[in-house]
Amino acid sequence: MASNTSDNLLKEFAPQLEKTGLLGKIWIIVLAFLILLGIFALYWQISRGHIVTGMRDNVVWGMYIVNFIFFMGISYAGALISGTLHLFHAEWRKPVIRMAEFITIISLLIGPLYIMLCIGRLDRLPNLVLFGRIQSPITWDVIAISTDIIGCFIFLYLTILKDLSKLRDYSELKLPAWRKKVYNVMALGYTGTPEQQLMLKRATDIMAGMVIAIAIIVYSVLAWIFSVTLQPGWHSTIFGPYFVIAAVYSGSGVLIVAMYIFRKVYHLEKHITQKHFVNVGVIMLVLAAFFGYFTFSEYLTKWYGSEKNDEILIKILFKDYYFFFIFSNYVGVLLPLIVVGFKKLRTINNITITAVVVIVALWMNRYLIVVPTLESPYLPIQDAREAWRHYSPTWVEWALTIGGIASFCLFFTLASKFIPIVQVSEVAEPVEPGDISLR
Amino acid sequence: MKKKIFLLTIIAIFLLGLPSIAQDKAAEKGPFTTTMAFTATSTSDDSVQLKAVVSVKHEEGATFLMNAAIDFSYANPEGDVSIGQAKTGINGAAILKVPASNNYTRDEAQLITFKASYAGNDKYESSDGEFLIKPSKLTLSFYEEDSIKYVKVEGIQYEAEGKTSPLGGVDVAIAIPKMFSMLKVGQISLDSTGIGSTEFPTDIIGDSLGNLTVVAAIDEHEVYGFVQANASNSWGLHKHLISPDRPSRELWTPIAPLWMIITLIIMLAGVWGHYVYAVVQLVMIKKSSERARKKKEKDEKATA
Amino acid sequence: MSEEHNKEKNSRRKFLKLGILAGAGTVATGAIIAANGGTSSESGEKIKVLTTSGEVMEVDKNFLIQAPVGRKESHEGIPGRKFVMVIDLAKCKNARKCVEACQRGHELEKDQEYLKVYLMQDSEKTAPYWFPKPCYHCDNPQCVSVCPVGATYKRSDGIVLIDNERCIGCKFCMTGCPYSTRIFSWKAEKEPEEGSVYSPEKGVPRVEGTVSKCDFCPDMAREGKLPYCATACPMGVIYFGDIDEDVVTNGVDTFKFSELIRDRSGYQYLENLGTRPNVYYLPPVDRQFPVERGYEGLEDDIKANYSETPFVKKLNHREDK
Repeated sequence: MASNTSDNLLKEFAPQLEKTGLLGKIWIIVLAFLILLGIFALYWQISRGHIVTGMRDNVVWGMYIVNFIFFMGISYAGALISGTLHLFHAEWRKPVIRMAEFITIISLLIGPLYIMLCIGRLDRLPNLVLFGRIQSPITWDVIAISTDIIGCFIFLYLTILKDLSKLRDYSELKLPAWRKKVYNVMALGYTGTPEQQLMLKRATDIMAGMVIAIAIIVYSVLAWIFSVTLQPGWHSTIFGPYFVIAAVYSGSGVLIVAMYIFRKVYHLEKHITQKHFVNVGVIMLVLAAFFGYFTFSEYLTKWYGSEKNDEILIKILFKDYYFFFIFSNYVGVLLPLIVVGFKKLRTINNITITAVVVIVALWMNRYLIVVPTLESPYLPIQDAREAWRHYSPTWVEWALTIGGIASFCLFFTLASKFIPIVQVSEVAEPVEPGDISLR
Repeated sequence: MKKKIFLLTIIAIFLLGLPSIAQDKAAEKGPFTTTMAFTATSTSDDSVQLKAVVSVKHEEGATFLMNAAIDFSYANPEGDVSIGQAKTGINGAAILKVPASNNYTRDEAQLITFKASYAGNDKYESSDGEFLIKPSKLTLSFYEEDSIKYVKVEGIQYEAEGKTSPLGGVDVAIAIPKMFSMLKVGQISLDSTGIGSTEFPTDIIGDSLGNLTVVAAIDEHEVYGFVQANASNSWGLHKHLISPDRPSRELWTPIAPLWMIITLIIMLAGVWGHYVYAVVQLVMIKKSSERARKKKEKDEKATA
Repeated sequence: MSEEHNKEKNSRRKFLKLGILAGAGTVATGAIIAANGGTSSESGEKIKVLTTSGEVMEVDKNFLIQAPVGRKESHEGIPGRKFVMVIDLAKCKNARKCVEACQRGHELEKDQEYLKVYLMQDSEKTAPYWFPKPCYHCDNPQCVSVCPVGATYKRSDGIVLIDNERCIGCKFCMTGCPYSTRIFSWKAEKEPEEGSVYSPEKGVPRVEGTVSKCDFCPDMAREGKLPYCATACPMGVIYFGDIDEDVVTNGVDTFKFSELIRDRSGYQYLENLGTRPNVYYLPPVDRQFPVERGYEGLEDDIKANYSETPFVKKLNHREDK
């Protein structure tokens, strides 16, 4: 019986929810410390002004915006990967889909914080709503991101509902009463009657499609913030799809790393196997090819046309940012193609290392999109001050970047303490019948 | 002669403006040095306008001095004769008008020496100026001949004892006052009868009705100093008050283009519609479970 | 040209400013001070003002200059006007008087420039020239389009202004402007004087965490005065005026805008970007000064700004030899 297996599964996952080991506690403390460091940096920035960052009048956007794009990008892991896999009923998705959805929600909550760090007058944030102009891509962004966050929450909720009801009904769970109460309320009295199952299925299918659509829009809007301007490095028609592909690409990388860590920490070797790594790895490979293709088109046309300002930009990319450029646009593209492309190389470790490289490469790619363009405006920068010519992030920006990564890890850890990291109900269920067609 | 004095005054103003001197003055904390720019202009209402502009020099430049009492006088071998007094206004200028036809003392070149002086007080030092002029008058008129438009200037000068004679052999500039300055549109040389004319341009932009104010002026002349006359015509092109091509729904206007608003509404309605559908399903799950629970309770009661 | 000659030219210029044809005899600028505050009886209401020389005195309220217009009115623009600037590159010798006057007028720090003077060289074999660059107050202003809160706006008189009390400091306008015109207040700015009313037309003092830029001095225009830069330039490089009136002036010479642009082949900078700038340039032909003149006399820290330009590199190379 299905319920029996899911009870067995719950028994297996219960320790994760019930207690945190010493290593886990140290991990949380370290993360909390890093976050505190970030909060201190934030206090420093607010009290001293933006002068404490490396940003100046030419490079007005720096690492904050890079992190913003990066976190928004990995939020794609859930949206596209889980949404698509859900719609295609890919059976193997079940143990990894929850992680993907967590990645989405958590990075979606952290990403927008970075754009706020970049804003000079946080106290005037309400102006965005009070005086919003819909001609501005930032307004589009505000609308799109908030819509995305709400959509992803609804989707996540739909996918955890069954597990919540299981947790509510599982009497052996050794948890404080308040947590059981939370499960009880959140489960909405779902008992899995055929009627309820149908309703849930309908809602989940609709939202899976919606989440994909919204994610594409959000990421395109993000790209348009750059491409609607006249800056030589940004004013590009392919930026929308380019950003979307880069986002899913980085999301697949983060998903692999998350799979690897949780598999090790929570001993999920039984559920997450090499097959899962290879499958997500193949997705990553396809995306790597697409990403490489877009990157190539983007720079080929700039280089071939060699308009004056494009030429200056490419010169900067290959001179000042040589290592970054080679790492993000060569290594970051070719490594997954080689590692996942050859069967012999497809080990869990190799794929995970590749994923780490991809994540770093993609972060650098965003840096290359944001910073060098601002360093090569139409009018040459004629300023003796070094900070006005070249951007270099300060400790404040680094601290806040590390703080963001730490909060991502912390939220992920806490979320896995609240809901099993593997979809208990789904994994336990038999193979779905193929009667529900793609919407 | 008079020109030289005038130039000297100006150079003095200029030199005083040099930062080093100004700084010294500022260090003393007063009394501050004042400078005066004094001019006399013959205007078309048969008078001479005396204008003295007083300013105070300090390290950051010059500032107009307001409310300073200026005494105007003309030179006389037996001593200056007072004409009157005026106070400087917001632009530092004190203005006094005297009749052009007068019996003020003239020198051998028929020039009247006007003088202006500011007595100063404990905060501001005194200053004065001098301007030599032979009063004159320009009259400006317009006429059209063979559909060509002309502007005509007649000049007279005031001799001693109230007599007049034609103002000949001088160049008169024709100009039109614009927002920040005067636009010179022509130049007329007055003949020996004191009359001259020139074609008036037809491509000058006037006010919204095409009205133009035209000025005829002699600037810094050796004998006549400043002479000025005004007249109006409606020969200008019409000026549009607000550019007719100013769009109302653009990317940069406060109101967005219609297509943007429509697209946004469609997209938001589409997405949020689906959200509402999903949430409604959740509400229905909740309701169905409540129904089931009630039914169960009922059944339990019934069995009990 | 000898030093003597220049001096004479300068003084003559000052002289001309008093002439009828030069319009208002603007010798002094700035606030007005009263000779003896107590005696005026115009309104009876006295207001204490601080003079530029640092002493407090009482001035009759009626005598004060028109207060700068408020935030709401500043959206409207000066009725019936559309401002335009013409910059004569043939006469510019990088005397930097425009920059300094602008900084004084807008209370900017020494390293904050609304108006920048670039040393341009279009390509390797073309001649370098000095290129003053204010805000272009474009008719299709990208900066205004991308502003999410309407803090920067274009008025009926063509001027693009910033409301520093609404700006959220997202800096999108700075990346939106292809001419690198805008500057950001990275650190704390001067506190506004007590009781003073903020006006975007004046934009002083700036507000930390917001963006500011060249504003074409609309507060001066309301008084019929030219912008600080135009008045300050000893060479009369900068012409300013109302394009609907078709007249521009540098304070000494007044021209019909259309004729000046026609006769001197005026152009807009990077107009191919579709921004439709309201600043026109007259090409650097028949120069009055060799380009070196603008470099030699500069202070060292300003000289350093140009150190990366091909012209200066070549100059330094020659000196090393």
